[in-house]
Amino acid sequence: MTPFLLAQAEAVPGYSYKYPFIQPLPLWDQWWWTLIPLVVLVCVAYKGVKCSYVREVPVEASKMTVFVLVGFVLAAIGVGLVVKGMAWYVG
Amino acid sequence: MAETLSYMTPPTKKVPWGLALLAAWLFPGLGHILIGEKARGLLVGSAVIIAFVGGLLLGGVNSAEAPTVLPLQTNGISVPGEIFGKVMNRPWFVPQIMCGPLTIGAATAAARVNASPRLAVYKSHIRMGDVGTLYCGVAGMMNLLAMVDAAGRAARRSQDAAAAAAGGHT
Repeated sequence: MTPFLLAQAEAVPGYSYKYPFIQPLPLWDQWWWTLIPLVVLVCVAYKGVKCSYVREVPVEASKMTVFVLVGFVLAAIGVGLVVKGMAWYVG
Repeated sequence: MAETLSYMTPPTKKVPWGLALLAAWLFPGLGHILIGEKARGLLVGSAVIIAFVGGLLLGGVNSAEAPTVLPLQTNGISVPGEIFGKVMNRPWFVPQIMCGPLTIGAATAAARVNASPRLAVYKSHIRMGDVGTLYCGVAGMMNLLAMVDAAGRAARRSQDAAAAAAGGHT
């Protein structure tokens, strides 16, 4: 187990990661990083069936991945601004 | 023309579309490999399998736990209604089952883990369980896309072959 995962596991008292595929991976506070590989895999699968030639897939999937991730970041900034704005307006 | 362009890499083998669909369900990517699109099948199949196995690693096998349908009680509701209600207790299993025997194997493993007093204590942390469930569900939806694509390409190939035999076009 990597030092990062070890630190995450130690954050929960009494938790020890012994059985992969039975216990959840200790990513309690960093779970949102798992969105990135999911986006990459979805883009590869989508472009894998969509592209006319398989050789086009790496470039097309990379472009789509960047677009989706940038969209996520912009949406997060937008939602964050709305929440901050509401907090400022209320309080 | 646009329709022709979307199939610029025609499958080299003539396979019934139902067989391509079934093969893609039985093992991700196999449908494309069967119709002769080996590279496409390996690429899409790898993406589906990595997403599914990644989900099991992130959330544990309980991420693919099957709904408990039996025994039926039928207390005042119809059998289909009861089955629907029980499946809706674990709605993510519906897209997950699109990964075929992979999901059945994972659900069997989850049932065994839950039946074991020693291992049942390691059931998923709720947030990571959700992430694992999402990964496995998305893998199933990706495989559904691959199944439909493989069946469509196989059907298109059959139509083209029939049209060529009838002297329509080549």
